[in-house]
Amino acid sequence: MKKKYWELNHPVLRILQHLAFWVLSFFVFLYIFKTGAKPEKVDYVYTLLFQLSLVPAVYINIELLLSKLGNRKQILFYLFSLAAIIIFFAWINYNFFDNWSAKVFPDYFFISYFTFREIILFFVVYIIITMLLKLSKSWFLVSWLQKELLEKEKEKTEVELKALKAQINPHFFFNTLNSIYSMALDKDERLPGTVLQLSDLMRYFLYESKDNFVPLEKELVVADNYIALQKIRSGEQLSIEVIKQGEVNGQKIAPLLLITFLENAFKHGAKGSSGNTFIKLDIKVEKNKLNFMVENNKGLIDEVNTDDHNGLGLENVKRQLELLYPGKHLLNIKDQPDRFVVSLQINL
Amino acid sequence: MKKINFIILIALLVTASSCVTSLQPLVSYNTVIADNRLEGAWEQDDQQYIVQKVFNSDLYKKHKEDLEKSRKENNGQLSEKDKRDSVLYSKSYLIKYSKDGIQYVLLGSMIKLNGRLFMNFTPADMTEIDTSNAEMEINLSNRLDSYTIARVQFTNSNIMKLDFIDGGYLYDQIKAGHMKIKNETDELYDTFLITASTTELQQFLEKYGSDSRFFNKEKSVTLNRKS
Repeated sequence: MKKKYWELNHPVLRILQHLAFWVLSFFVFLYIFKTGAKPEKVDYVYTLLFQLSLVPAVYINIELLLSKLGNRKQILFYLFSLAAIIIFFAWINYNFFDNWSAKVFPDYFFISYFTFREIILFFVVYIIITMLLKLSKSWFLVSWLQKELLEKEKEKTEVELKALKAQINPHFFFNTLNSIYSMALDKDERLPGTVLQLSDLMRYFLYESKDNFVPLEKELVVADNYIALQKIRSGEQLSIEVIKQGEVNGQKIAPLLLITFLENAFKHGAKGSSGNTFIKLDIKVEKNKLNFMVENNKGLIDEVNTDDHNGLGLENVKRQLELLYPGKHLLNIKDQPDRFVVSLQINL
Repeated sequence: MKKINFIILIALLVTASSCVTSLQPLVSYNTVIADNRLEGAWEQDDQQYIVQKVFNSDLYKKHKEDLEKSRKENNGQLSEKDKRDSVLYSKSYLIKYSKDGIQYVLLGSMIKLNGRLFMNFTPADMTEIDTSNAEMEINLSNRLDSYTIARVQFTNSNIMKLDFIDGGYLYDQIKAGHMKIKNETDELYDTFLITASTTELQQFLEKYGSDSRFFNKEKSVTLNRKS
């Protein structure tokens, strides 16, 4: 970025830009000032000298005074200084052409063809034009820098999201593989089906969750598979209530958001429960808005307490929400003695 | 162009051939000054010139009745132009002289620029006088006014020197692209007419009024007071 900024502000480029402006201005003046049908030698000399009187006023303004305009307290000082400079150089211009030039250029005969007021007007117009050019150039640089900054922010977010996903996936798989390990020890006949379901989940996690957003429909199917997997694992002890309302087709959501909350519910509730374990899932979609609520009661031995990655999944999902739904989500987590309620509202 | 040629012809008739002719007067009603030293009879190489204030002149007296009549027709009111002309004429002079059977009357108005005196001249009347002294007025009414400009210097109240602006020098400078002043050139006759405004003419002479290159020394006229 520094290199590009340097290229945009390269001294040679700046000089060329300024030179182009003054050359263009010179020819415009020349065709305004010329006396006959075509410009004569004296017209070139007169125009050049006229323009030279504008140059110091313009550069004093844009290089020294303009910065004062940013400070409200110095606006009066700026206006006073600018007026003084305009009057001074207009006076120089008028007197040079009306008197002094006869001594400096004795073989060229010209006078000041404009009144003092008209010369002041020339200066005011030039000061305004050059100020606008300077400000537009600054605006262009600032917007370019903002764009660069946004791109860098985006890149940073992408990297962060990838890192977060990389943390979520192993976390989930460790838990699920632990469950499968238990089933294998018990020689549970549902193990092959469970492995297949896990395979589907892995496909989703590894290949389909790379995008920032996936169809909500797919995320809900994966959530169903996940619940089914956990049902097999938990047996009859677990009561799961799932309520889905609204049209999910056409809506998109960040992948693994809902799964992470579900995983958390199962971690807290299902494992180590003494009975009457329940998980209640309520999903409502209405007009680009998703209302998600998952509630579970807490087991006697909470899995989270024994996990080395204590709370890591929820923290990751919170960060994901901040990155992908800034100002567009509402997350509420109620950690009560006997139950854990997560409610999430997202503007899709 | 015919008008310009006619103006140049008149100018050539009444002034030196190398003088410059301007479409606009150098002197305006608000800058004109009167100088009593101008009035009287002047002489140069047996050529006599009578200088009178406009309102004291025979020509004014001759046309006074017409002017009054015209004023009455306008309910005694003067137009803005007439008011300005009245101010200008009240301080201007008529210069009368005869040459080759023609009597010329020039209107001369004076201005002071940067401490120097200048006059512009324009033809006011031309009368042909035959051998029997019968007068026949030459009609100048359909011409466009033009002006010849000279610097005026009084050596004393009896000697007046007129330095006419050197048209040849100005023309050369304009052709060489060294002088920036509005002008029209007639390539057929190789002549030119200054078309700059009164203000610009005044500014030019304020600045270059002491530059000897602007004045034709050979065509300077030195007038001696006769009465």
